[in-house]
Amino acid sequence: MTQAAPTAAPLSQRQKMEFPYKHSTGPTIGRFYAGLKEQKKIWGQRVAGQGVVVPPLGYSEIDASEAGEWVEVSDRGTLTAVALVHHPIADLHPSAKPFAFVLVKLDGADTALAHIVSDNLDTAKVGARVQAVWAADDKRSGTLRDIESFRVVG
Amino acid sequence: MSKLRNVAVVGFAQLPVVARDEHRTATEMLYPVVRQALQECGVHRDGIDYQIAGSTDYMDGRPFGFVAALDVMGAWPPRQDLHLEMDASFCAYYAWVRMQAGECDTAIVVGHGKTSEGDPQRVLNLQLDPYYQAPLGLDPTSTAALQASAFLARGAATAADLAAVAARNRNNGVRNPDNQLRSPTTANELAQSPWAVEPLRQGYLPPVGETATCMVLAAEGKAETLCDKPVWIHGVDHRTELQTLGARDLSRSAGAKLAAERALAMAGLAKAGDVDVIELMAANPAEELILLEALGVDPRAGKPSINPSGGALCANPVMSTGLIRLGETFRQLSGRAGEHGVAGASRALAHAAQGHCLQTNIFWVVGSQRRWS
Repeated sequence: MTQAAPTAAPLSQRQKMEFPYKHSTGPTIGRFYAGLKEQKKIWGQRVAGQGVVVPPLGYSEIDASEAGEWVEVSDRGTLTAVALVHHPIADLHPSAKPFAFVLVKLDGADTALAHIVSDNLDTAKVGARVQAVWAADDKRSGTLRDIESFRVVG
Repeated sequence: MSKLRNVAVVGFAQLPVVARDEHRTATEMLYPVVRQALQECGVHRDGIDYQIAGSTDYMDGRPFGFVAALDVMGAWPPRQDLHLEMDASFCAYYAWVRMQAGECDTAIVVGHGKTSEGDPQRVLNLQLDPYYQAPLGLDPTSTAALQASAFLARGAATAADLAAVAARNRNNGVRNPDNQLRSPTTANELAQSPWAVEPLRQGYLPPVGETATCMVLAAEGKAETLCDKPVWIHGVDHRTELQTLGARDLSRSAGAKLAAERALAMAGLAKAGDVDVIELMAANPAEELILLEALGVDPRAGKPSINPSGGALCANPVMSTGLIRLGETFRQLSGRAGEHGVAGASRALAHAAQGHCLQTNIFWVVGSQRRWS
């Protein structure tokens, strides 16, 4: 008697892996985030070869020298890049409705901060002036979203 | 340039790129590809000195995912083996370096991974730093759109140029049987496709796809015994740039420019325009135009032939896309490119990139003649 082979239809196995991490933000990134949370201020560092770097890393990405003094920069700036997300990805993107990822060169800074614009998206173009929209005092927790978003001004 | 060891690509095999190969595991996909590459060279795997694989663990859904390739490449008798979490084109570089050191004469390089089994946008978000960039939720399509917007804002190209570049690649790709996208199209049609992330449209981007790839490399003396037309490596260089997107000029690729200049200099060539074929790993048309600007090549000139395979827009299997570019130059120069062959091609440039917004770039210069005598 021949043995019948099992069905040839391919099966699959679902796996969901979650590995929670708790990253220390260290003295430099931690101070940047403390500035957002406690002071509603945006701090950068003066860095050889790069000028005022926001957000700061504590060293120069150009020549590896140690970063210099802390410098407060404005919460207003200019968009240097705009990616308009028409179809946000759930559980990844910071908004369920259309928004724009942007790079913002804040006044007083020489590098650009990655963030988002949430409203008036048709005005979010490279070169547009933007202003930080701060989260309420009891909502700021020391993350990038202590600035909820940037809004286009003027 | 001092004299180096002549090393050649002597074999290349891949599976046609598909959206999802639900009938095989990654290992089972790689198995026939390695066997085919070795068979075409007329060598058994115990005749290969060195092996190296490119894969990414988050995509595999298992740490140390490279072990999936070990049995297929060889793990007995105990083998010299290396793994990179990079596109397999970069793996080929390390095999080349080992040959320059005189530590091996033959090597196989593989790329593997089932992109369809996870979520590439989510996985590739994790390439960014976990403090400032990844927590914002940036995905590779969005960072590519940021780069495209900076490029367009500089005035270096128009939206119509993006559509034209995408259409050229897609129409070239019709003749390549290994491509995932093989339907002819027009710039107008692509320019009317829905937005992916503006300013990039869905028609400008490749779909998720998967394959397995294997390349055989051999040094002079061995190469001639493994292949009727070895394709010799004349130059190679790779360069990486800053991780912080906002600290770079995204509208240019300084790393690609330097890597190409160094690779061309090693090859004894004055400019990129001296080759017959250029294969770029550009996952959208803005990347291609940024790379061509770095190379000083005008895509409207008609020569060199740019992406006769259709490029990454027609098939973009993570971890293999760059190795396919090098494999395509092997096909072109060894008379194996079939319907998309460029007649008379004797020199070519192959590129691969890694990271968001062309952060890391490698360029290979290859030729049908030996570089060093």
